[in-house]
Amino acid sequence: MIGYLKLEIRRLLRSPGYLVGSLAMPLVMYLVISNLYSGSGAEREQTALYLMVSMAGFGAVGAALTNGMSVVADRSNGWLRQLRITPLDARRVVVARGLTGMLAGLPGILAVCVLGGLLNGIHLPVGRWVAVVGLLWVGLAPFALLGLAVGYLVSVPAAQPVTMLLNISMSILGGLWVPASLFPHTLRRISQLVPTSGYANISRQIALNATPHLTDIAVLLAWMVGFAGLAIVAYRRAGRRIA
Amino acid sequence: MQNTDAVRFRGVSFRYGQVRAVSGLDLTIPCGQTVALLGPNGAGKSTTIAMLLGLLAPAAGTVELFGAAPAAASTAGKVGAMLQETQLLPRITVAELLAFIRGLYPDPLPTDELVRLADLDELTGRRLERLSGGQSQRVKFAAAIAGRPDLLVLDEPTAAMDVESRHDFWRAMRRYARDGHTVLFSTHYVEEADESADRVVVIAGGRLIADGTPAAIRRSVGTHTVGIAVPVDGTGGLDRLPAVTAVEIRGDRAYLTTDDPDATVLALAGSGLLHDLEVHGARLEDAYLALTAASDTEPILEGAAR
Repeated sequence: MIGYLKLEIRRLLRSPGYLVGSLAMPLVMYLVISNLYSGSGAEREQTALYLMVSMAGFGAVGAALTNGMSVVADRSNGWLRQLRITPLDARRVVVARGLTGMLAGLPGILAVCVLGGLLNGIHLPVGRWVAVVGLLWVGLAPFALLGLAVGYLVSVPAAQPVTMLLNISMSILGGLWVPASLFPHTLRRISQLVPTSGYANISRQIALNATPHLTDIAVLLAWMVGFAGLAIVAYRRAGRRIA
Repeated sequence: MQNTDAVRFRGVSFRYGQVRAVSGLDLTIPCGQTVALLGPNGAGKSTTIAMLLGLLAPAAGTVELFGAAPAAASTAGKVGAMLQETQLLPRITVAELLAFIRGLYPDPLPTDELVRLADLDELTGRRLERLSGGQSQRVKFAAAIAGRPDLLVLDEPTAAMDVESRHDFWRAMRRYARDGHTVLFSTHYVEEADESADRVVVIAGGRLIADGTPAAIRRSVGTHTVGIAVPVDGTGGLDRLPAVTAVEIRGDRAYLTTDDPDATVLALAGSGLLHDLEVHGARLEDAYLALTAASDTEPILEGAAR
């Protein structure tokens, strides 16, 4: 599995276009949106912090999901079938691929956080910076797995639009673009069950020096288990089909 | 239960919708044999190979590799394959790909041996997307044998190769087979099967229609060809010679197809036409064409009257 992970990380690092592309959108959105909110002092800093986590999360989730598109390419060029006749089993393929997807999200998280610290005047103790970045990164696991499941499951032409749709709908519903506190009541309840909501809330709580909510953690973990199962089943199915 | 067979198909069928791609296939390949799988396009070769590798599950019957399910044989590192229409992974070098595959198998071939066998000396640092057609076939072959699999499966491996590369390829394949490995390959070049296989299996319309050594298959077609220089007074009458079934003129030579070469040659000698004689038996290709022409090569439609 380490061998496969190394192989996929190499491929990831050799596609700078994808990595740079995954940075552009969240960075621009962060700069624009954070300057729309005015206010001063503590309130301003809170808003900047909230938006930083939202936009870092938005960028990272997008990159982790989009990593599933490279799986689509593997499927159509026959590499997936080749991989299936090696001793590498479905679980290890999915774990290695999932970790690669998580790594693809890391530049976005780091870039938005650096911008937040340097331009938007966010000051956090080093330990909390590390925790925020770390949790934003670890929390990517369900999204990387969902990206894989789509990549292995959905037909080749549909995979890209499906990924986009998932990315945008989860970002909106999870409160990454507009805070969920502004949603109407029913939508707010739904929002709590969307994985992006728990994902961003955990890091926001840490950034604000508060304790993360157990429900957020539970919801995120449940999605992770579900998506992992889906990705493994999807991988097994994908190999059985002729491209 | 003793089981030394590398491959065992028992009553295997597969269909795509209403079209039966493979029906009732029984095939056993003992360890160490090199088997060529021949058949026209759409005969079911690739479907058979996909089931053999566990990529497709048969609709009926069982497929076993080394006495276990194909997936179990793959997991145990016993299988390597070169599949049709696969492209190599982009953004990876030849050396990186081979190192990755070697790392997956319990007892891989040493890298230097692999590089020598597949003739990859100058290519190891090259990115996979920058290889020519022939080079990438060599790399795919190397990837297939890197894990030193007991069973090597090659689906039309020489499709993109020129004559010289084909020659080198089969030499490498035979060297791998000689070390006791089982090899199953499919090809459209019948001579390749004649030169490189211990056994030829012909399928058409999803059914096995011939199975034997290349020599036995060749003999199944009784015809011979008798070649002579074109007679000075024309070719008229050649087709009326004893046992001759067809006459073909190529350049300054006449080729007579005959069921009894002795009788034909004696008659030619009697008429004073015997100049620059050559006699040869059927080529494997002739036998193959006769076999596949005789069988119903249309895929069998479910419920259709035959």
